[in-house]
Amino acid sequence: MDPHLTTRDHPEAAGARPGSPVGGGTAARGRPSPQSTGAVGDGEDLAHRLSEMARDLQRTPEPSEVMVRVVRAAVSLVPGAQGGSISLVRARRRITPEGPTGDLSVLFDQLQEETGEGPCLDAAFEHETVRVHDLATEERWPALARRAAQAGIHGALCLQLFVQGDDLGALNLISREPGAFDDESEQVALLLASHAAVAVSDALQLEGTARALINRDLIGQAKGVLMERFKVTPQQAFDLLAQASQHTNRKLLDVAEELTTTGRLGP
Amino acid sequence: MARARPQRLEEEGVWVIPDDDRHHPPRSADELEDPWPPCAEMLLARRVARDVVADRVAVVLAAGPEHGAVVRGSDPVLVVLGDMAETVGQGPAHDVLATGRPSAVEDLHAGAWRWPLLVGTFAVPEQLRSLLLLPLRGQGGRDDGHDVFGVLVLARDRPLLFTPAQVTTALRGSALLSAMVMARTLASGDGAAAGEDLDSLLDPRTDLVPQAVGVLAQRHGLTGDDAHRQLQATAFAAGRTTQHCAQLLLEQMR
Repeated sequence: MDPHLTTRDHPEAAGARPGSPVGGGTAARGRPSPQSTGAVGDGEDLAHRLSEMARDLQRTPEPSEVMVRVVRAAVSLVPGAQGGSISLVRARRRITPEGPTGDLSVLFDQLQEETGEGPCLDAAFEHETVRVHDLATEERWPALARRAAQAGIHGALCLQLFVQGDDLGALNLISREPGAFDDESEQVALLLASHAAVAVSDALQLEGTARALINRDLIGQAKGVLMERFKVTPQQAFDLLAQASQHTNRKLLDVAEELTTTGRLGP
Repeated sequence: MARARPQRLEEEGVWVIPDDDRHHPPRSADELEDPWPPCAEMLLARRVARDVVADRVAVVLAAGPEHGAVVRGSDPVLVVLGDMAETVGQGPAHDVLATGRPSAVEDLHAGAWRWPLLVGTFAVPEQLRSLLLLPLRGQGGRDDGHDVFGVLVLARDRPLLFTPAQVTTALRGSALLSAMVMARTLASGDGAAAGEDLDSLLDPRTDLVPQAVGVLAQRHGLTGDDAHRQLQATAFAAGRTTQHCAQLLLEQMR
């Protein structure tokens, strides 16, 4: 049971009757689902809430926290959403759920990774929005649909968030109710995803740049340890690290980290 | 400013600056001439420097106060100033990294009182007078400084403030430079690969301090953090930069 799975009449969600696209930004955030008619309602309140969310995200430095806030905002603002997560697809295969609202959201990501199919993967890879009326009757992803429906997930709405090289991200919203997501849900989610894409992508890029600098220092320090231990040159020390990495089938960075923290080189 | 000697490291017998180096001046800018061809980022930085009539330019990347690196091709005199600031933990670029705001210094020598530890420890290079420092940052438009990952440093050899138009030009350049640097590390989620992407960007001397830290850690059973602090303390007490001491330590091993 997902302890955070809320009902449709979440007080904040109930107050948000979204309207026409604010700023007209939906086209850039993937194609609408085949079910979408484009019909939406009044959106002044939604625009205000999205602006608040964007400001909130700007003040959040950590990528993981940015993603938690994006998901929370989506579950709060998108009509029909009862839970959600952001799927980070690393190197086009490993799926990591970020900011899940509960166990059911984590399970949905796990099932997609295990079966290699699902609406979030389609959204992430195909640059489109995928809306699922009821997984119990869904034929596009038979292996996933059966297991997800058994777990109690029926409605789903998935949108591509960003593409960075071989890394992709998708916003996943789920519901225990069949037919929970309609055109209005999709329009709100698309608007929200546009704001979220900027924040998430930026936070991940910053993290990547910082991590690259920190990793360089870590590898340099490991080289120094080996230079002193074996009286070798920096290049020879790097070669030793590379050999240990190859022999143990581990990343060079992991070998360096272990060496600098425990003094061990290899198993 | 009077400073206590001998240094902690020497007291504990961890590492001693060789006698024949004690009376040598800190590494001169001439020793830092970079034999490598400049990267695209440095070509852009130099173009910005030319457009705003700056005599010198350097680009510094940083991940917090403990992880910094100079981009290959940065001006040697500015690199020396950066080494000095890194050793004492304060300086014009530190202010920009901490606040996320651009900074202008009309005359470094007249305004150096803002960094008492820096000027109390080192003789700031004579050539450097007016400075303009701009943060390199993410594209998300945060206003809290948390997205700053580097600094573009422009300097003049005479005390002459940069005009508003020149500042605007430099800001545009720093935004483009930010995007270029970030593009190097976004292609891979693998941190090691991202680090390798920086190899062609960063000055190879960036590795000297981490290597020296590793040597000290191994030699004396210290943690990396403790070894780094010890190296800094030794450098500070001797009036040398951490970079200079790291280089000495590694040269002793040859």
